[in-house]
Formats: sequence, structure tokens, C-alpha cells
Amino acid sequence: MSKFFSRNKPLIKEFFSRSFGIIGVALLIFYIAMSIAAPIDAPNVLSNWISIDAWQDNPRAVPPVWYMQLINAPYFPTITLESTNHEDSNLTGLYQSVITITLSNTYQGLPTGFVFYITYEYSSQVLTTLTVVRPDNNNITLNVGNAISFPVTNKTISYTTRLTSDTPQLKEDIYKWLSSHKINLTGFPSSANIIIGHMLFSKLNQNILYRENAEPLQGIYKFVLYAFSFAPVSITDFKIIIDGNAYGIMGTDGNKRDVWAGLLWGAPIALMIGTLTSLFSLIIGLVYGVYSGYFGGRLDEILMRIVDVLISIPVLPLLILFLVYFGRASSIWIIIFLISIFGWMGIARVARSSALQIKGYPFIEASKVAGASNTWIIFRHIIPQLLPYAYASLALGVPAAILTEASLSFLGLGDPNLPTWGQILNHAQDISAVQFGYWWLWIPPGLLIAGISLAFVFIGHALDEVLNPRIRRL
Amino acid sequence: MLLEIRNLKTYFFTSRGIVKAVDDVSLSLDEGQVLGLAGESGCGKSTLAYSIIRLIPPPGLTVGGKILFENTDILELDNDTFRKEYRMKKISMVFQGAMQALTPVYTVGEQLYEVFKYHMDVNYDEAKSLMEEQLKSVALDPSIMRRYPHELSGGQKQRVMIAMALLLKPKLVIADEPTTALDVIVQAQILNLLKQLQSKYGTSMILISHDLSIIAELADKVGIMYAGKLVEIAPALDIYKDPLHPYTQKLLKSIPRLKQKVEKLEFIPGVPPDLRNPPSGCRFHPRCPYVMDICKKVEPQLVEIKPNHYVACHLYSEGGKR
Repeated sequence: MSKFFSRNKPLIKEFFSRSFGIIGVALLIFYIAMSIAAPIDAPNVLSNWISIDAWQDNPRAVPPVWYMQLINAPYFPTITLESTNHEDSNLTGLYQSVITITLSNTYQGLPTGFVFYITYEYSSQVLTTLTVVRPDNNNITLNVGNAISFPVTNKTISYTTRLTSDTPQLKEDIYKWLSSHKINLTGFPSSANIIIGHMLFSKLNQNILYRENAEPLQGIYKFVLYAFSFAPVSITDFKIIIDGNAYGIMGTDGNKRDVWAGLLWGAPIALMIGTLTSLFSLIIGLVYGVYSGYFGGRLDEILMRIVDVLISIPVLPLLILFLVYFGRASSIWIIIFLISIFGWMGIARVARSSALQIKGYPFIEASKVAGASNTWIIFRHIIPQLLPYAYASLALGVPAAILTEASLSFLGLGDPNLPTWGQILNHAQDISAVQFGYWWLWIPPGLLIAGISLAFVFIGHALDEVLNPRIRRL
Repeated sequence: MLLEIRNLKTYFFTSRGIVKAVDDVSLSLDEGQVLGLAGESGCGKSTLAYSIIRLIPPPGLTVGGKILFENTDILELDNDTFRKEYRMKKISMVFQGAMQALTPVYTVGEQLYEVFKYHMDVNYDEAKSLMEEQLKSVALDPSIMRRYPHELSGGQKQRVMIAMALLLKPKLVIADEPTTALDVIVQAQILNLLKQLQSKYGTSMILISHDLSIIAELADKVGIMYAGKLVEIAPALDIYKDPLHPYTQKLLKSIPRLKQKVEKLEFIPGVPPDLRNPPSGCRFHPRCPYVMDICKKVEPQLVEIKPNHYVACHLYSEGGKR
């Protein structure tokens, strides 16, 4: 490696003397950093991208937190609170376990929902209540236990339950709380008619019924969870997720997915699609073109006519046809394969013309005299001389492949299991993100696609200028 | 006898007709002998060389004759056997285009090592000492192995080519205009080197040149070719002292001399014939000063006029003028 650098020092220097080259490499480093960050920052996203369960605790289609701060809108971020700090006691045969979570609410906005995860270790019937201690002392008691159907057991087992702001028992309890505090519930004949996601954090007045009107109540909140049983019981874990009207760095999409995680994972996937496709096309094109040019004659004629036919077929409609044929089974590998198969013809033509020229040089004849086989001559003596061209076209082939994949994904023909930028755009299109103003669903992936294309185009052009003697600037 | 060529015919099947570049040529070469082949450009001397190493560029084909190398007809061998067993190992070649005969992307050492790779199972370290020795024998510093071709001068490149050609100690080396494109001093050095190496290894050599003075330096035996035919072949001294064929005579007169004062350099009037449609009879007859009727009709055969001196000319057959 160091030998490579010392040997090519002048070329590298020349490459970086071009602003193109510097910008391209800087952009590429940015994308590589994203690729490195993806598995660290969002480890399980790749396998869970289309899973509903993995994202069910997030708010739906909310903007990023920094955006709400920027436009100075009242917001409540999506937060997760967790405690395992339980106090267990035994009062003459009655076992009790308590966990308290405290939240200091300073946000100007209201949440849209909440989720409780409660993990018990128990062996007999458990009675559970959750008391929400509010700053205005209008405490709410939620009969959490009534909403849980504990599996019957004889020995101690661990069991986790999930309760949300849509759980009927919790709505019922809130309904009772509202009516006991003399809120006029006309128009809300039953608990099923109210939406409670924001109510825990709202001021208790008539406006609480609608989230748009409700006034946020700031201060210290305490969530005190009690569990009672006649057998040993303990709450080993209590987790509260409060869904805000803002989420993380890039908000969420219509399927509650974290857009930032998707964008991060888009970088390694795009780089992989781009480099693999470009590499495959390059290898096919180089070998095909050089064989054709080197052997010449009728073989050359036939091979080049095949190229003419393939090159005159419009690729995108053909790809669409193939992918419709593969349907939902169209994995990323099939897409890479198809783009490669239809992307090598231009390279083959250039490689052929170079091979025609190089095969006339005496050193090819000298190798033949020395006893080299045709294959050896092609791979050792002709193709290495095409490498300058190959590097440039490798770099220029990457954005072409990425854009093709993005177009196919946007049309809904990509691999649905992977968070590619094209897929995110496709989803934005599906939920009419532009009309609803969900800009975080289409601007960032669009910019990222444009940026990665630019990176490789810049690098490719700089490489071409440095390596291609015909357009080299001296 | 190391090499015997019998009635070799190599034609180029171009779209505009068949070019008979080598037509019915027979000659032989003993071990350790140097054969010079001379003639104008396009007379088929290079094609003859390429026929021996079986690398005639398409659309050329050897259509007839035999090339017996150590009594094996090498034209009968299949391509792979010939490539692996003969090229470089038994028959090697030094090119005229020394300037471009090395691949620009590899070092000299890598390219020399390739020769070993094609033919034997040796690793680089084993081959290295052999290569160093070989480079020393062509008066090059072994450190040149780490250099790329563009770092070498023309003479150095030609020396590398010679080293490469002799690397596997072949029985026969074909030197096709080994000194063209080199300046005169380097030419002399290369010729001396060839001479020295040839006598050192006892290699047979076919030296091809349009320059009779270069051939005179090295050759034991000289063949003169004209329009795809061998017109005269004789020991070197005989050719220079007593050329028989009118073409040979003219060719020798057209060489500028250092020691003799020459009024005017002679040249041979006319142009070499179109090999697609060569003249009937003797192919030299349109340009021959001694042309007779028979020359236009009957093709002369190579006849031994003096011991080992063969000539194809009607002047020396029965009924000829001399």
C-alpha cells in the first residue's frame, strides 16, 4: 500500500490539485462515515426495516426535533424512560413491588401517545396499579393489572406486557378520571370515543378533550407502579415511551420508522450497489471488449453486433419488465445483476478499440514469441494498460448504478426489505409526503442521492483528467 | 542439421487477392551457424522468420512446405505444444521494434520472469540468479530488473530483449532487424554482443536485415531474397566476393563504401513487384539488366554453381550467357 502511494505520488498530488478531486473525495468520505455510523447508530434496522413490531412504539410521520426548535413550534420529543429500580416488600403474606419513574416536563408541546412496558416476575395472581402523580395533584390511577391477562403459572416466571394509549382499560380509567373531575363529556358517550395520548400531560380543563386545544402542563411527573400478590412478585423492569410530535434527527415516516436510521443505512447499501454494479459491468465490458478486439475477425464482428443490439435497447423499460416478472422476490442481488448485465456495452466498445490498438504493439508479439498464451496476453499485457480508463469508468459507473437503483426503487420495483434512499422516496410518494409537507421524507434522501452521484462524478472526472493522457492537462 | 525449410509457402489472403509473401523457399541451417537473410523491404524475409516461429499475423497462412527443426516438422505440431515446447525454449526471436517490445506496465525483472513462468516451474528467487547472470552477459547491471521500460534507453531495451531471447538457451535465435531504430554506435555494440553471445553459447542464428553490411559482420551464410523467393544462398565470403545473381550484384553495389571512392551510388531501377500478381518466369526479370527470353517464361530453380553456392538464375543454367 505504501509502495502504491510512493510510486504514484505525482498522480495523487495531481489528483488533489483539482478542486473536483478534493470535493469528490470529501463527499465520499462523508458517505463512508455514514456507512460506518449505520451499524453503530442503528444496529438492528437492516433486518427490521419492514417489520411492524420493531417500529410500533414510534409516533407516525412526525418531523425532526431540531426542526420544531428551528421554527419555534411547541413540541414534545419522543422520549424513553426506564427503570429497574424496584422495591419489593412482604407484609405478612401480601407481597408488594414498587417502581417509580420521575419525569420533569418542560416541553411546550403535547405528546401524541404513550407506551408502557412492564416486566413482572410472578407466580400467582397479580394486582397492578399505576399512579400518575401530576404537578397539579390531579393524580390519575390506572388499573393496569385489569388490562393484563397474566399467563397462569405455578412457578415463578418472567412476563412482559405492553400497554398503550389505545388500550381500552387505560382509556376507561382516563374517562373516569375526566368525569370525576367534572369535565363535560357530552359528545363522548363512552371511553372508546376519547383519545388519551396527550391527556397525561395536559392541563385539566374542558380543553383537554382535543389535543389541538389542550394546554400543556409543565412540572414534575411521577409514574408509580404498584404490584400486589399473595405470592412473591417483583416488577423487574418498567419502561415508558412517550410519543411526541417530533422524533430524533430525521423524524419518522408513515410506517413509524426512524427516517435517520433509514438514511444512514442507505449509504452503505448505495455504495454497495454502486461499486458492485460498476465493478461487474466493468469486468464484463473489459473482458468482452478486449477478447473481441484481440481475436478480431468474424468473432469481433459478431460480438460487436451483439453490443450494438444491446446498446440500442432502452434499459429502464427492460429492467422494469424483468423486475415486474420477479415481483416481490426482486432482491438487491437481482437488481445488481440486472443493472450490471445492461451496463457494460459502452465499456466493451472502448475496451475493444484500445485492444485493437494495443495488440499491434511489438510487446504483444514479443510475449507471443516468449510463449505466452492468448489468455495470458489479454489479462497480463492488455487489460493492465486499460486500467487508467477502467478506474475512471469505475468511478463514473457508480452514480449511474445508484441512480438506476433509486429510480427502480422509486417506481416500487426495488428490494422492499432494504432501506435504500429510493425506497424512502417511494414511501414518501406512497403517503403523499409532498402534499402533507413531510419534507423530511423526500428532501434528505433526494439530496443524499444527488450528493453521492456528485461525489463519484467528481472523482471520476478528476481521475480521468489525471490518468487519461488524451485529456491530461499539463 | 538443425533447421531445414523445404518448399515453404506463406501467403496472405487479403481481400484484394493472395499475396505470396514467401513462395517455395528452401534452405537449411546447421547448429552454430549464422544465416543472414537480406533483401529489399517486402521481399518476405520477415514473413519467413515469422513462419518459423509460427506467428504469421492474420490473414497470413503457411499453405505448403515443411519446416524441420531437429527433424520434427514444427508446422505439424499443435499450437499449445509449439508454444510451450518450442517458443523461447528452442526457437526465440529478437525484434526490430526494441523500443516497444517491452510491456510498459511491468518492470524488466517481471517480464524476464514471465518467460520462466511460461515454460518451467520455478519461483522468482530461483529464476532471479539466472536472470541476473543473463543481464550481466548482455553487459547490463542486474539492478535494471527493478526498472520500467520507459526508464531505459533504446540500447538497453534491445539488450534486455537479447537477454530475454537467450534466457532459456534456445538452439535457434531469429534476429529480425535487431539494430534498426538504434543509433550507429549502439548498433555496433549490439552487433558485437550478438556475435559474442552467439559464439559463447554456440547458438544458431537467423539474422534478418536489409543492410548487407550488418549481415557481413555476423553471418556464416547469406541468403538473398527477392519477391518472396530465395534467389541466392552461399557462404558469406562468396556472396560478398563473387555475387552471382544480378540482384545480389546490384544490391551490393548500392551499399556506400568507406574505403573506395564511388562516383555515384547505384540503385536498381524499377520497383519490387506486386506479390499478388508476380511477374512470370524469373520475378526479377523486369528489373534485370541481363534479361533473356527464357527469363520471362521459365522460373529458374536454385542450382549449386559452386560448392555450397546456390543461385536461381538462367544466366548460369545451360544455355546461359556465362
